[in-house]
Amino acid sequence: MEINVKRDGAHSVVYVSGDIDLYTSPKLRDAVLELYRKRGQERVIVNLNEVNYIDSSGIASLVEGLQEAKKKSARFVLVGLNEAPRHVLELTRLLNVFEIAANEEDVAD
Amino acid sequence: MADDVEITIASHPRWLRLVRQVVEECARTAGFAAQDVHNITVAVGEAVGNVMKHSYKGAVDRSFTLVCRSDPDTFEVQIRDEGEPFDLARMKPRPPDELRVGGRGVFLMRTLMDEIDYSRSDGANIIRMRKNLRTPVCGTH
Repeated sequence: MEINVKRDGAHSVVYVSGDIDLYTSPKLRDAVLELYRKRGQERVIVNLNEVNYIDSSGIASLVEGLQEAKKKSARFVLVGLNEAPRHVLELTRLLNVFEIAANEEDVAD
Repeated sequence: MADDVEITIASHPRWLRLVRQVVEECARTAGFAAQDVHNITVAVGEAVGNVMKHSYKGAVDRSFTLVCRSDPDTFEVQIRDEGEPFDLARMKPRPPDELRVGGRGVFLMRTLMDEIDYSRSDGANIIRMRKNLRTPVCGTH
């Protein structure tokens, strides 16, 4: 799994590619939490367009990101959800818990 | 044993991807459609993750055995490890709509497979997960 972060002022986009599992999810968790805790970001978009597998530890990392955002009164948005990750979010009944957009351009300011 | 696949893998999470590749290939060969192949792969990934986290408590120098077997009706995956006992029946899957960080792995296993059982024998945990080849796809849209 690869992570690239693009920061623009108080807004960031985290680009993830590859599988998010027990091995790789801590890297995603740390990247997201750092953006809120150390960089004071007001909005973090996680772009999952290059992700085709996510397990419960990956879901947990996303939930932690959302929780941190709520604590900081910030936003946490998922974009580019492919079918398989969407299915796992749906099964775990989290699809309506996250702010989700089709792509970055669709995320309202 | 005729057409079984059996592989022993180190308990380091870096090998989860290999586990998924093996299971994916076996499930596809057994005749499952793409959605079920993915469902089985997710369920087995969660089970192996539990072995690494709970049975071996994060130790990366242990190993477990993965067996995939199928007959015309059923596909079975067996995972055997020699770590601490843990009973799936006692691991309560949390209500998945709660915004808690963890606790969704067992829920996914139970949702995505038709049958799961756990036993402890000769100092080993054995999880068997079955998916029927002729039932409708579980948990699809």
